[in-house]
Amino acid sequence: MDVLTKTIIFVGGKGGVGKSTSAAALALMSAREGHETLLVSTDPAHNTGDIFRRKIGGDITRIQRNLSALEIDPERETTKYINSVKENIKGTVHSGMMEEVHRQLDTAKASPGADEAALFDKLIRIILEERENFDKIIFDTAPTGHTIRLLSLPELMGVWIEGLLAKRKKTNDNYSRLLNDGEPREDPVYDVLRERQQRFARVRRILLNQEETGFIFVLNPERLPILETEKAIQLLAKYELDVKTLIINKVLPEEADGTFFAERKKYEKPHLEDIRKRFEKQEKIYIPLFPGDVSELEQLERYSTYFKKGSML
Amino acid sequence: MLEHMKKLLAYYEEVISLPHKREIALELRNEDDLFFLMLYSEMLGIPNPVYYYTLELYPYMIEQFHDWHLRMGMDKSPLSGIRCC
Repeated sequence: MDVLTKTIIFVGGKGGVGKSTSAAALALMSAREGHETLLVSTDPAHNTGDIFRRKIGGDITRIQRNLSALEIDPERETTKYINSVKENIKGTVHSGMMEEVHRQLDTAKASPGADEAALFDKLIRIILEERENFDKIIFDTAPTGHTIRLLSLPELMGVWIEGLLAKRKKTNDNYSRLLNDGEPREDPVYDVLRERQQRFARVRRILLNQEETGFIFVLNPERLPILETEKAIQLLAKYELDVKTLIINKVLPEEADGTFFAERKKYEKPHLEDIRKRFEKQEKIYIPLFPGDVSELEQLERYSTYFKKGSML
Repeated sequence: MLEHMKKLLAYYEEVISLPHKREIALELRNEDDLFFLMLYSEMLGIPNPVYYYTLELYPYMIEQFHDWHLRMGMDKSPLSGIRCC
């Protein structure tokens, strides 16, 4: 599995196909191999804590040797951000207006997109700042749509902010040339925006660097996950993000017996065939359906042995 | 005599450029206003994908905000949150 050599790995896929399990198993395997690993869940419906049977939450939590985890809490991140803005306003606004401004900011908290932006912001911070502390960062993402949006945001935001910056710069240059005898105009707004834009650009560079970042999609041998995965791969390709690895989870094992399973296998076969044809370019890891829930450490370990075997079909 | 002429010329240039200075300042203020609108369009119901990130610019904008909405032809602040009037 070539993808395991990357520093940053995103695990995506439709809801219910086993993303969190795959991400957890990957993280566990990476930790066992001696890499200092961080597992980050960006799905608002966090499962990571359930899988490891412990509370994780919004702070980086040590789970075992070489393995830490974090469940991003957008609400908490938004509150932190708004509070830092409030802190900055202190001293710039006369006290009579303060209360109004606070109210204004608190309504912004509830504005559409605030959660997404907060999540995205945290993601950026993890990518830029935690790479020093960890050998590997594995992202367990929300269902496909969210993930694609999240991964396309750096570009979208980047373009928007660049537009704002260009406009602002032109005005500033004109001010200094025409009214200030060439003295540059002090502009904190420009500086703050520029800082943002540079962060977006840095993250985008990291995401696009195939030496550093890998994308894995998880699917089951069923019609809808196959179609959704294909769409996701095409969409990400538009953003120059290359999905090289697929995990095909819940494949009926050979030893499944009885007429029911024989029937089920017949139904599964064309889908496996379809996966082979459709995703010729991707490396494929097949994982059998387990008899029980994968939530014990030993189960996770068994799960991750299949990463090493690679394709078994 | 030459000195005198130079002084006179300098004075003449200044007088000529004064009204232009004001025009330029107005023009530039309009540019600033448009920039403001691009940042805070969300408050007027026009979506802005980076609205969340513009909040951090708030502290630097807040003083100008009142003048801005008056110039935009809104007697009362468009924000229910800021009652600067």
